[in-house]
Amino acid sequence: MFKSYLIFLFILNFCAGYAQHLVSGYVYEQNDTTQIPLEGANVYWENSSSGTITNDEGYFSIRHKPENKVLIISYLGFKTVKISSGFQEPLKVILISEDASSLDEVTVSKRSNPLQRAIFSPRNITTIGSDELLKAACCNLSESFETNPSIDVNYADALTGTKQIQMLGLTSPYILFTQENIPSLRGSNQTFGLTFTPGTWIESIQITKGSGTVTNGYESISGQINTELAKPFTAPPLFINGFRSADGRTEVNLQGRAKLSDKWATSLFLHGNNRANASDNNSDGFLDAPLAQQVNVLNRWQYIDAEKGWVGFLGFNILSDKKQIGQVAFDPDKHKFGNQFWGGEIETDKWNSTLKVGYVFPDTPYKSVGFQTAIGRHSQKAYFGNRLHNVSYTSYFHHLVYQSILGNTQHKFKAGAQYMVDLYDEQIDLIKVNRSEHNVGSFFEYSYDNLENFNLILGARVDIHNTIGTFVTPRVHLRYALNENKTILRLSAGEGRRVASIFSENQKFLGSQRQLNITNPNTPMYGLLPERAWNYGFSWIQKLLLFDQDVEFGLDMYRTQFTNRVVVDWEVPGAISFYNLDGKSHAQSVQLSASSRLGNYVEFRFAYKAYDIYTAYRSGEMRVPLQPKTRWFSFLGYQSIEKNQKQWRADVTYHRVGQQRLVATSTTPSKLASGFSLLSSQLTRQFSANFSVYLGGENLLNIRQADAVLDASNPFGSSFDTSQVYSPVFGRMFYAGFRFNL
Amino acid sequence: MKSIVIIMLLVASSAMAQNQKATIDVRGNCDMCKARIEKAALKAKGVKYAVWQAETEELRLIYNTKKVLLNDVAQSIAAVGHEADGISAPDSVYAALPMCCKYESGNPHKAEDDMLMEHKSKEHK
Repeated sequence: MFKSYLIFLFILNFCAGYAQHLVSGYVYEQNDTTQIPLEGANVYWENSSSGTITNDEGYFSIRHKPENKVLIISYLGFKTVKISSGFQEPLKVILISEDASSLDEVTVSKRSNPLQRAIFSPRNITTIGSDELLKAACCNLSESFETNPSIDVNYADALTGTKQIQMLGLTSPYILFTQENIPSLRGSNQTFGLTFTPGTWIESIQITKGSGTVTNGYESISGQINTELAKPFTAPPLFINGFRSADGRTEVNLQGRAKLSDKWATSLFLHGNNRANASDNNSDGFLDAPLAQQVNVLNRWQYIDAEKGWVGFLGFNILSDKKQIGQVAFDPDKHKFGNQFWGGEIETDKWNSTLKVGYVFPDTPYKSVGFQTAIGRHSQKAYFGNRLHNVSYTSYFHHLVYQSILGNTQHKFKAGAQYMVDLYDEQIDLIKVNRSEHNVGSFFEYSYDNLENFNLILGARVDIHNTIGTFVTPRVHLRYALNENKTILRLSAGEGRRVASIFSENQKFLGSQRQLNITNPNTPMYGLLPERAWNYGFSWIQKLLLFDQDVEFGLDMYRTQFTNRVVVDWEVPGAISFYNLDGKSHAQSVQLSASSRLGNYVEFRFAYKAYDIYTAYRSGEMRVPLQPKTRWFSFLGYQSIEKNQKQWRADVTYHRVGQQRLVATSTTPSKLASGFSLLSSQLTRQFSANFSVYLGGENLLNIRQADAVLDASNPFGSSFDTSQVYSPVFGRMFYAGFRFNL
Repeated sequence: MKSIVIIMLLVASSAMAQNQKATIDVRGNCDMCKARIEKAALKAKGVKYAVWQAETEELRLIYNTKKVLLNDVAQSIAAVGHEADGISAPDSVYAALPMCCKYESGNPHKAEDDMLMEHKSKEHK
């Protein structure tokens, strides 16, 4: 019931294996152009007496014992199919007539559900599967959400070219990012961290809207995004991906894994990207996207001993990333810190290592213990024109969780403790600050399931933090289902807190001549209070049969109310101020959505979102700038019948971004920027199960913001500003790539 | 707070000793049956874990031998309409089960060897 989003997802994966895996799927017969479910097909394991037949929907499910290697599917008059892999996910088997030409081979494919909203969890979770990730143009985590209505992708500043994402009207610092349930994007990683996880490494992403689990920490405010990476035991043995886009970006991914024994497997993932060509489509003399290069290496080890109940992961990641920004003519060797041309460089070196150990008591599969530890260092050296910003950030994370039941499995609990240390050594111009944060936390989370239509999760944690103090974080999630799970209602409420790293989170303002105004520059938190907010949410999912198709409707309403907030105020031209909230601040959102699969091959998604985001600034309560009031989203996907492993896949995504408030500049007062539309599309040709080529275009309507750099001709003048970017800068962009795997 | 966690760990693991594992046959067909069967099993005080699979018509149990007898669990399940460990369900309760749970007219998921053989012979003709 609560499988979807647990601190130890891998333990549960393992539990499923322990409890004898079940293979299921659908069998169809190929009938000229359509496929119809085949009832009564024999499905059995080779050399065994274990078998079943398909029902009237062509559905079957069969127990998978370790000795069962080959699954046979047969039906009189059709070619018999033998399958020996891919049993983890539902199979889709298409049988063809015995007298069909020998070139038409029988096809077996996974019946995927690429974007799935959880049905049984009390939390509002959407899972993005690996098939869905293929629809994203490229290339890293920040770009993996464009076909998903839950997440909004913003256009970051013209300088760093990094897309920022947001949920429920709040940007990424208010979302807790975890990688395999270890907090991954904290402190100084905020701005660029999302670009440090290549898309091809990702197995799936779980998005929790609203308040999240207390087991992952006190920090999540508007939601949690967890990324699961491809596992050494299950990733393809070899995977190669190449990508090239018209804006000069080249990406290469080489991924391999090896099973060393029944219990050990290892994987090595290499990623490199490079953008060497300068592009300046809006002719303002500034790069539309930074020149960049990145090398990123991940080595992981996985251990499984199913009989004894042990699982483990060990991972090492090392990354080097360099970006050059500013005027096209800027040459760092000649012009650094000069006043002839404006430019800058951002160099990031990062490493981290993680260890996870889990134990499931073999006699009591509902009982488990898990331990995770992660150590990481992120050091970034940067200058933006004449402004210097260096930060080195070291983090230690230790987490212990015990999971069991109270009486029976209707009542489950997780209890555990966490110890975190974050050390910052930061310099901005002449301000130097050392900050160290220590946090000891303990949590308890109880879940109840009446096994029918109601379940809830009650969680609380107590943290002792050297700067925030001692505090309690309560969270609650309820779910009520009606009409045999066709109607699902959810309620959630929870508090979250965090300490803002103002410079790391707001690097885009460093690319301006704005004067920094900080209350108390030389103290560890710059005189700012920890941020604190409550999030309340309601969600309703309704499944209906319309025109003989299953359509899923959704209504999500969330509100985040800040008690304390670090206000980032850039309303006054030429200045940027950070101060404590004095008044109200909230973000409220409503989302209406509908999605369906028309037949087996066409899929559509539609969403309308309205946002109401206000903060009390010194100049009065105002709508937060660069936050559209409304967004429209629609997605149409098509995939052809897979024949001889060959397939066409195509999709089109349309976004309408509503009006946004712009801040005042030295020449214009604060005003509304008009809305615009974005269209993107991708076409994939799968030549075989091992090889496919894709081609796509982003921003096909060629929307371009002309004034992305204000006062571009006078970059050392007081009006120079690169921070007010509300739409794409580059314009229409095409790309192509290939994927090869064994 | 840490000490509370440690106490919790101790309390939770001290009950381990009387745990008994068992598997019993319970008739049923589909996921709707699954929820009903597992719920009935867990209602019997002392049953900690109950997972039923339609394919095998088997219910895997972990229960406290000091609190409950296997027969009581089977009774509890039979009382909601599913034949358990040879104890048949009352006719009136069985009659009220939804269509998909009418196991006496055959289980589409169950690997009936005779059914399989029949289809195999059809294939060979």
